[in-house]
Amino acid sequence: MNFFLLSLIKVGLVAAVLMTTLAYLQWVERKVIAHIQLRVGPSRVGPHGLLQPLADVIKLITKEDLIPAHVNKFFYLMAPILAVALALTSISVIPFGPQINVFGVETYMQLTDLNIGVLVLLAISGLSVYGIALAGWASNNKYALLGGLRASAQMISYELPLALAIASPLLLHNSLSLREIVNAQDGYYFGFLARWAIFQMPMPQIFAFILFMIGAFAETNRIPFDLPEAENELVAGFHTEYSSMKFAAFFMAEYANMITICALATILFLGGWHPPFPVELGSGYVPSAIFGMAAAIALFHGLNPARPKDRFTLPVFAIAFFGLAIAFAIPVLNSILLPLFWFASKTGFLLFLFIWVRGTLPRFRYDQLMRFAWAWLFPVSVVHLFATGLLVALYSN
Amino acid sequence: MAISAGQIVFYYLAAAGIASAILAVTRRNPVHSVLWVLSLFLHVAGLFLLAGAEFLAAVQIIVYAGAILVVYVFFLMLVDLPKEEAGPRFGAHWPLCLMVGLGFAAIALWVRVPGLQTAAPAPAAAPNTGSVESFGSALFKQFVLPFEILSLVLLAAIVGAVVVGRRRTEA
Repeated sequence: MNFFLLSLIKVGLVAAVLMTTLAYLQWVERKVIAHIQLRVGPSRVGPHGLLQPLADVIKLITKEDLIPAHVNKFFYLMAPILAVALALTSISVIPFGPQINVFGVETYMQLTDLNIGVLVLLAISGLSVYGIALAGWASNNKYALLGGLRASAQMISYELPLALAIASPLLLHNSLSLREIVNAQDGYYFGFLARWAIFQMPMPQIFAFILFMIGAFAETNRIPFDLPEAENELVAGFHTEYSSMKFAAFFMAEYANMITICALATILFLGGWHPPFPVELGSGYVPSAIFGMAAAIALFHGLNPARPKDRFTLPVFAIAFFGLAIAFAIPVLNSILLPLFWFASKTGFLLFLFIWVRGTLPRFRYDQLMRFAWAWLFPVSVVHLFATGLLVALYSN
Repeated sequence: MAISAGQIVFYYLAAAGIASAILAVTRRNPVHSVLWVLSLFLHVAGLFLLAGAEFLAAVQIIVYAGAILVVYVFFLMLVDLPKEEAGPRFGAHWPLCLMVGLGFAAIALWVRVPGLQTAAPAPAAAPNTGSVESFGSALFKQFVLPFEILSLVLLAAIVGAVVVGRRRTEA
């Protein structure tokens, strides 16, 4: 098949899925936070508030697009574009699955495989500081400026431990191409323990994984490191002066960065699309079992409704889940759906972790944040990198 | 004379890089200057990519554009802009600086290696050894002594920064 046509189809697919995930991630976040705080969360627009993202998009597009009189107009307009463009670009090197065969066309479930994929992600995340810093500076507003300053200081401080935490699994995998990194984590110890980086000999990367996740929270400006937009000190931080779609652009950039960094953690540490236990032990039946169970539960509650509307909505969900369960049981679709299922569930778990932490932890104070990065996180990641290097060198001899 | 696509890209990158550099030193607004330097760095990274040195291109962006320049932006965001823009752009010694710059350019032109001016694609002989491996082995085998001396120089700079920082807090 024509290379450009194939690429275009893949880009369209990835963009559609990414945009939907962006919109619904925010719905999931609101729901999860609501349930953590014993609230209901969005529930008015559509069943269980499922159409809330659509309503939000319409609201954000149709809102008045205000440009304050005192801003530096060029950079004020450029900053959100820069932020969202860079955030969306980084998804292009993420591999979602192995080589597949669709109607006789062999292709990888990845937009492009670069031999420096990891470095490209680091470079893009390094450049994305400019979007936030420029937004803060161009807004010509004290709160925005302080937010921008905090963001740039925080992001360059946490980039170091993040890069060092990435470097240690790279020593094990011996490649910078994300696809080869995932392939290096294939196979099982003793027939059941996955050879993911967090379990891999000679140096299980569980500590690097923890360091990476701490750095990831800081890089994406999420609680407990959301100092750039600490509302009780800085109004809304660097995007105080932004409204309408320009505000939505920063919002999208934050969520896109979250998705990318969770996908990167999945690839580097959690074995990408490889299942947690081998197919011989039945990992191929897990998705069908999960979705079948979900269908049964939804059907049960639909037949014994707690709220009047549940009688109609829950059976619909049950049918949807049942359809998914059937789809995972079809052998032809298996080779495509199973890797996607494992990749999506690992990434989804990490995204849930982000939301969970937001609902649980308070915010750092700014000096604590900086001291934590330079006096604890950075030395620990250096020591960890040296230890990994030593063990890998000893092991390979 | 046939011009290849690689040559067109090369001349674009070179011209845009030089233009960005000139704009960077002539702008009155320091933040604009820094952003022109960012444009320069990105074009230099493009030149590295064109020469088949993907690793250097990525490092150029990660280290220079993503870290060093961000620190510059960080400080310039706090500058009093109206006052800065009202003052003269160059100090009295600018002809001297210009001469040094031109002299350096002349030396570079004089010693240039003719083979480097056309954009050579990465050698296809060894597809599996990316430029990272060749870069690493060159750095740690062939050029290990200059590399170690450089790291010593950088260590001195770090110690110097710490000393300067300490003195300021005591005063």
